[in-house]
Amino acid sequence: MLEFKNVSYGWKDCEPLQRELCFHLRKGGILSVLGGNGSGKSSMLSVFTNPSMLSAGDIMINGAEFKNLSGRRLFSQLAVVAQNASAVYPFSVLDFVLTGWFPWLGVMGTPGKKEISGARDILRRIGIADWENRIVTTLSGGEFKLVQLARAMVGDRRLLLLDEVDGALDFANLVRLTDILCAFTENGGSVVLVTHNPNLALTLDSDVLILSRNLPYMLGRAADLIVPDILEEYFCVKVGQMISSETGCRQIIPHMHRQHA
Amino acid sequence: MKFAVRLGFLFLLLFVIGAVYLSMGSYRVSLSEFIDLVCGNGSDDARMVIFDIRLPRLLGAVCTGAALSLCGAVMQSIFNNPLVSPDILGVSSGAACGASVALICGGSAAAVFFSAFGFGMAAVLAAVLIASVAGNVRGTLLVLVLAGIVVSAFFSGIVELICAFNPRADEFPSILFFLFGSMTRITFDDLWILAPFLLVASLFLWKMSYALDVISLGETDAAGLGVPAVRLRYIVIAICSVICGIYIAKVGMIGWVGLIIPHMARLVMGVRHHFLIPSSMILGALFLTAVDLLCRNLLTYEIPVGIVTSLVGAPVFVVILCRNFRRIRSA
Repeated sequence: MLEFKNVSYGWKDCEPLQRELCFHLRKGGILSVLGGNGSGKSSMLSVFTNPSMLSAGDIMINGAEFKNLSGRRLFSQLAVVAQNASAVYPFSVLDFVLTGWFPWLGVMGTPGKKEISGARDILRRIGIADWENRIVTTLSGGEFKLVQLARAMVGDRRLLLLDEVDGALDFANLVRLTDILCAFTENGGSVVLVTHNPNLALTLDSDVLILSRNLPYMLGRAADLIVPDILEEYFCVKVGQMISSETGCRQIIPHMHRQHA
Repeated sequence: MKFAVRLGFLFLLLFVIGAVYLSMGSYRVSLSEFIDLVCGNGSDDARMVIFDIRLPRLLGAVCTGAALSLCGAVMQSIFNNPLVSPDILGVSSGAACGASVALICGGSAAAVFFSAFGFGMAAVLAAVLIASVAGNVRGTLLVLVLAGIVVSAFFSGIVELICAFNPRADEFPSILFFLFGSMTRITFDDLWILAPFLLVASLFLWKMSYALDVISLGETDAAGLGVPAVRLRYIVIAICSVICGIYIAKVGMIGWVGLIIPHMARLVMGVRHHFLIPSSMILGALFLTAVDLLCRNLLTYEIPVGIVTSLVGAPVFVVILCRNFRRIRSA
């Protein structure tokens, strides 16, 4: 579905943030991307919206080369949910989600009945159908993330690139997010999930990519990589873990007390 | 449906104000006389005042209000900033400079128009060029706004220089007249140029409503949906600059309309451009017609329309802001 071949990326005229990055995300897979602040997680997704950040290597999407895909053909296959988006104008939730159809409709297009029912369908699947007439500028950060996710899923896109969507979600919505993502991948969709929460990767039992400024990146299964030894090395904090007696799931706990060198 | 009803109501209001506009003034026509005139009867004097003098001016006010509001609405969207006015890139300062230069050189009315239009376009072009030299990929929009402010300041400086040295004292009132803006000079011949431009531009922009919706969500969102944002932005800037340029070159500087009317339109009809564009245009037409009606009738001599738009526009804007914020907070 998505393949990085020796990809180097970074801001134009600056040192690349990551070099020679290789991974293959299969159909129906989830790749959780972890790493400290400034390790190039968000920039990895920015490559899709700002191709000048790709300094070397190839990205393949469904067998087609990324460089050869134009805006609308590219974004009808994938959608990026950005970390820092905010709305200025008070659109309704439904109108906001309708903008997700842009790659199919184009500059001179107008969403019709088919697009509106498609958007409503997505809102229903996410469980926020009753938000349809709410105003996006009045939503809380977490609510807005879910609406952005709904827009990204419009049009049956098969690849979602999510930048810290879980950051602003409460517990209930975090569970809702995992349900949505599992259902999405069971239907053959693929997800790249940039997150600061290693437990989300464990819960989803996903592939994991850990990025760092100084260390080489690591790629593997969540069960193998999300362990205290590796996390301590990459995040430079003491990390513990516990196994829930009720669910049997392993969870990571960073030591939050102040550490004196 | 709700939209059509509201729009219909605004149209009706425009017709009523238009009728009042035509019948009121130093030559007053009663309602029955007015109906007579519309039916083709009535005195020749009254016919001349109503149809040859007031009607072109009324249509001029309608078109100018609609044009400035249309440009304001879409410029606020592409800049993703509700505080942008259509002359943010310096078109009106450039036009004022062009008009002043032509006036002190003793140019004819046509020369003043073309000089104002040319300088207006040059100002926008300068702003865009400065932004493309100074800007990098990130924050291009902010650089563009700053470049526009710089260019505006520069051209305003030239106008002030011309006024300060005042080489031909008898041209000074004409320059002031341009800076204040006025509907008095519009004739039917002008309307044949002004109106078709506005019609074509508004239909084109209206057809792009959905793309404008997407781009008004901001740069990050537009990029994440594959919108050719940069190209689209420059197309819209080009259209708006030409429209603003020809209207400002004709009627002079009229501030505030392009800034406040889109805000009102958003309150009345919502933010989708499919509704925002027509509602902005008709509200702008209503506003400028009403203001020009005041200008003609408030005092025994006429007040320049640009002054009244500022005097009326500023408090109206404050009311809108307060109401708008209260509404959003309580929602």
